[in-house]
Amino acid sequence: MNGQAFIILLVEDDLNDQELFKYAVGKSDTTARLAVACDGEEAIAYLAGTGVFAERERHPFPDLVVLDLNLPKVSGIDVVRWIRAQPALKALPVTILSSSAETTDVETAYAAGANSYLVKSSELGILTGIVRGLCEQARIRAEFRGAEAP
Amino acid sequence: MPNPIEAVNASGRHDHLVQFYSSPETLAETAGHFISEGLRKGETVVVIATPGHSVQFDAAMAAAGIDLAAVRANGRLVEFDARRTLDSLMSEGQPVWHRFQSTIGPVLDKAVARGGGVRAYGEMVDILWQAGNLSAAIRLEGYWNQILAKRRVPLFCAYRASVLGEASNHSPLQNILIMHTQLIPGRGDLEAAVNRAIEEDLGVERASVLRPLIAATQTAGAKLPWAEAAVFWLKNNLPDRAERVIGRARVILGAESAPA
Repeated sequence: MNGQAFIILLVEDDLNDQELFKYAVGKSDTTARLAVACDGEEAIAYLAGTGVFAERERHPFPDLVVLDLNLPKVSGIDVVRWIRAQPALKALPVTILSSSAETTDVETAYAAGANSYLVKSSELGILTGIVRGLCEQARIRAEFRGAEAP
Repeated sequence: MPNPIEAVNASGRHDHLVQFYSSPETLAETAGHFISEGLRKGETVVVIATPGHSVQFDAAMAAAGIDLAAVRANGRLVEFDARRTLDSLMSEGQPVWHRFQSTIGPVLDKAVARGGGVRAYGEMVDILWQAGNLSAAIRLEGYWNQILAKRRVPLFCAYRASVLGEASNHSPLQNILIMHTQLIPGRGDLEAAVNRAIEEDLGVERASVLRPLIAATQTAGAKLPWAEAAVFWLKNNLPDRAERVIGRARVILGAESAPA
């Protein structure tokens, strides 16, 4: 595995869950850059590069979005729908990370256009294993993006 | 590493199973075992199959020691021609609920009333799939789910399709999976081939890092065996690499299937 830099956008309103995820990323991969949006509206602004996120150098486009479902202002499902409605974002991978394992939530997320669905774990070992995988997924995508660039 | 037979044996009374098969031999072995196991346990088995597959199932049942004449005579093996039955359910390219309910419902009710358990095998949906009528296949699967909801009758559906198929088949297969509870492996050697293909394409270390993520991923609908889960995950999350991995897996399987 090489040191290709990559960016994950975490969309999570719960501060404890944010900290756990940051900790797991720190344990997993030193080349990962994590951006955080605290609600659905902020996530859309980040991806659209509007408002405080207009400067792309400071807020680079992510290789992977990790999204909670239960978010203030705009729900996770509506964020997924918004992403899939943007032609430029159609290929952006979106992974749902939710505390819900309900079948209807899983099916709704996939139907909205999520690429993957994970259930939050409070066990640090499990979370770290999952986050290592997410980092690797983002890195592989970043490599592909790098190879595609002129 | 479950093979198709082990997966069938581990299924439960409420399962709506599905298998994507590439060769008729695979189908005959797996579905033949599902049917034979039911009869061996004293259950009534409802089989809705094409004549060609029925012949293969007969051979599988005979090989399993089932007295075919006896189970037909005492009504424990109830058989229907899949195409004729399907034709009787269809109108304007779609199955009709009241026709389905009035055809299949009484058959299941009679079988349940006998006691001893009931299981069913069906491939009307595969006829629709082969004809490219996915919406009708999905609707028919929904009808099966409705009719099975009140009865403890496991159902085994088979589709001639492959998870290692073209990308264009990906979404339709996922739509089919949503209607089922468990995917039966298409072949026993798929897991080894997919694992090897992932390691060859992405590297052993990356494969080991991705494995917990793939294993933790929730799927919509059917529970998937490892190999199928890995292929679907790659197609959903790393589509550019998925095609290469799938190509390698096909080569590995082809090379291992070739005569020495």
